[in-house]
Amino acid sequence: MAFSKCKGTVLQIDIASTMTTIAQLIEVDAPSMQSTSFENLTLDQAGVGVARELTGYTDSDPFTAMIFWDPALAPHIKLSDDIATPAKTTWQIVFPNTGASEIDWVSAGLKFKAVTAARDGMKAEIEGDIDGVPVVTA
Amino acid sequence: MRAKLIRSQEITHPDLMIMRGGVLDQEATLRARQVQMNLCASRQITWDEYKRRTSIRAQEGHIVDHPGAYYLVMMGAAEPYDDECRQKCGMTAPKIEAALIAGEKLHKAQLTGQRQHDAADGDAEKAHETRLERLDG
Repeated sequence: MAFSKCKGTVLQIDIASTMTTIAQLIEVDAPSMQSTSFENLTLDQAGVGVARELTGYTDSDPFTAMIFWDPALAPHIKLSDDIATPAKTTWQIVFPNTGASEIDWVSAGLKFKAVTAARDGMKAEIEGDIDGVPVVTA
Repeated sequence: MRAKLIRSQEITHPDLMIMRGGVLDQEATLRARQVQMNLCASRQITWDEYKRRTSIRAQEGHIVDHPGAYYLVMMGAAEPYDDECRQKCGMTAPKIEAALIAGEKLHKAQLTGQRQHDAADGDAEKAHETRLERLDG
């Protein structure tokens, strides 16, 4: 059993077939994963509980990240370029635990939003839909 | 378009890079990776096998031939290796050099976990070796 700190977590994006770190990362929420189900409740069922059955599919909610935004920094430019010229992209989070665990996924749609506030630095929010199922290391 | 890496980096495995008419088919390459991701997610292959099949650690000096190779120059991870890359990145030699220095500082800072410009060279090298050993198994 171990308690790992988050400091040192890295978000990477595939740029020119090279996994490249998104600098100035503040926080990242990895894509959530869910095995989906449907209600198979029927009027003639005996029990009172709401019955559910698995669809056989696994779905993922979008991943989100927050960065201190540098509009001149290449990986940050690449994010907005992938929106202007839509392209699916490979991402990964590398965690700072001893085994350097990872979550890999492919993004489909991407959202990029600059955020400014008087008492804060210039930031940007990134959000992306997931194509397929993310892979998580042990 | 070609760029030369200035340090060791994880890149897509050459077996997954599908070429059509001498140009990288990025969509087909991504699909090939997703096939491996699905195999791993369904536990048909191990994580180690997934990593072996999808990526390799390219050494310093590796030539990246990719339509987006100029991004690597812009972020200080590579030098332009042909005129197309040099023109597309739109940077003068001093700017490229400045990007390389900034890229190296950032790389070391990430390896050491220290703030962006606090990385001491000795610590960075030590952390680099330790991490590489861990990542390469």
